Amino acid sequence: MGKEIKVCEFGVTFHTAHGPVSAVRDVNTVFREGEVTGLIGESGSGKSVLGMAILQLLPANARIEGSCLYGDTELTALSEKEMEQIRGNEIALIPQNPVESLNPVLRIGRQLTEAMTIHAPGKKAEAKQRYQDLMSRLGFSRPELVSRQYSFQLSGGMNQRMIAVLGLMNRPVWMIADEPTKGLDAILRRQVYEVLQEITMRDTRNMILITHDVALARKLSQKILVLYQGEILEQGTVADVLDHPAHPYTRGLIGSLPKNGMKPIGQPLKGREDITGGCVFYLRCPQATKRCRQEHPRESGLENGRKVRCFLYE
Amino acid sequence: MTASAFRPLSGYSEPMGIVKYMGKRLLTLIPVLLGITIVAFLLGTGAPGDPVEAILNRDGTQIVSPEEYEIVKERLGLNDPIPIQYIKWLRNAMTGELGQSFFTNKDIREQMAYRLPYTVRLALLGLGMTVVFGIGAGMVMAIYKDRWPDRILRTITTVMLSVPGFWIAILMILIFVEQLKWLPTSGLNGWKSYIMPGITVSVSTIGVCARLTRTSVLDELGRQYVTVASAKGMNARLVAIRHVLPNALIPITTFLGNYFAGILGGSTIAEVIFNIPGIGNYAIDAVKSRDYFVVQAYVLFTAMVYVVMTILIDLIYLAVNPKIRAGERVE
Repeated sequence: MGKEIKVCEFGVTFHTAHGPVSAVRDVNTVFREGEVTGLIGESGSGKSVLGMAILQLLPANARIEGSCLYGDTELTALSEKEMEQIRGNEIALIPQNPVESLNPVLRIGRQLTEAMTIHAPGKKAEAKQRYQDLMSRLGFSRPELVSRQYSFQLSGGMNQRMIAVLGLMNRPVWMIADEPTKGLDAILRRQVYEVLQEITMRDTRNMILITHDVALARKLSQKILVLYQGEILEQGTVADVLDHPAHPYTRGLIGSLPKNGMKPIGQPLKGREDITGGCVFYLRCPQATKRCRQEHPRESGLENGRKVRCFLYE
Repeated sequence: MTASAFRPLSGYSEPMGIVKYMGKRLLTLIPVLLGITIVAFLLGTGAPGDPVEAILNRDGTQIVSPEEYEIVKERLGLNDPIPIQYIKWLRNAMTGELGQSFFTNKDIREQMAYRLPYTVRLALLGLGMTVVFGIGAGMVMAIYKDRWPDRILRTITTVMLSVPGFWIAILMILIFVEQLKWLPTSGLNGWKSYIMPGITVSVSTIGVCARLTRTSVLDELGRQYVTVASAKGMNARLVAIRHVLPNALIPITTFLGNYFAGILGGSTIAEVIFNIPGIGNYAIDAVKSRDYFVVQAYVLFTAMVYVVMTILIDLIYLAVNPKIRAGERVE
């Protein structure tokens, strides 16, 4: 049975004291099996919210709209109890902020064991064997010792690998890696890349990689989704999107990379007042027309399954 | 917290951390203890009223001869200079010898030993009720934040922490004793006699504890490790009990320890209203009759309780907070 993740008209709205705030809108895509899909965008673009919405791990004031099919299962229709069976077991998470992700008052071994025993009570010994194997694979020389420590006794890099161990405990079908390189220096970024590559080669190729790190996404992914202000502006294969960006935003994003000369995307252009209803990139788009201001662009299909949300490609 | 980036694995030194931590704690207690004994002693000697006069002339109608006065004063050791009196008293107190009451001539240590179980029972009941209802209500409020259970409990706890214990006591007597005749008024007739005193000593603390728990749990619920625990597939209740509560309890431990020490020495109002022969009642009687050896003993006792509780809280801290165990700097 196919276990791809297919989202349709998917969105997330936060109901705040100042009224509803739409964080993610109208997302249509398929996360195909055997593929790493890179979700890229700047901070606040909604990429983490999209990832956490698949697992339904959002704050209480968030509402999920649209459909999210996992294989034949409609995740948005599941009860909380059924969703608990999916989390960690079928779709696992490598969270951001590794140091914050582990409970400071519980020993690491217990937190790892728990990931398995929640789904399979009584499998304590298996869980221990599993995390020791995984730790050895990810470069811990003394798993037994580390498992008796607390997260604050480990270095940032060790915690980073530890949460990868945590995600892999139940041999999940899918892995969502949320901002794995956020706030890391070059050495740790390289380590994260190696860990993720190890996972895609030996554990599961089905991965959603949420990152602002375009270089990491290029190295690991086969498909790229570009998010901006809660909408997917462009999606397609890595070669198409990153080497021949179609959407003006993607072009700007690629052009702003250090190796491409760090040309910034312009600030909101003069004479363009804040509008709602038009294209989300209208304010900063160098190629915007009058139409972009009034009309919301739909996704246009190009060759190779590529989709771009821009009137230039209608 | 200052997490150094790389910690060598050999730095796994919990026992050393514990020894260092407790050593520091115990050292700071020495001056505290000395200070307490001095204050307790001076409170007795400095209090208005002449104990010799009080013993010989209880009702104020007797004429005391100077010879009689001198004999009693000598017997009480009041002719010595105050520092000598203090050192004698301290030496006796250290061996547990607290002297005799001026009036009843009963041994103070025996009296306290007889009365202590009543006070301890009341204090334990108060603590138990605070833990169960305070922490319980706080958890419910945090989990149902801004929904109706939270709103109702918020109102109730505000009322609880605002009304004084003696008022609740009188209200309860009116309702449960006078009107409904469910409970005995005063004195001790089995466990039923402890219900109203227990509520009296714990009602406002339950309110404070519930508020504290709510805040503490809400702080923790926003932390990333909670999301990660949920991402494992754990249900919300288990996440709350296994992951959130152990963290949220750290600040609550201190509060509960201080409260327990407080009612061990300070359940006086409840003891007097419900006529329970505990330590507090003893102290009130002694104050009324200027029985200052008893007052000194009482002050010393309550202070010692605080000191012992402080050590106990520290030990509990060691159990609940691994950062201290590992010798880590804690903010």
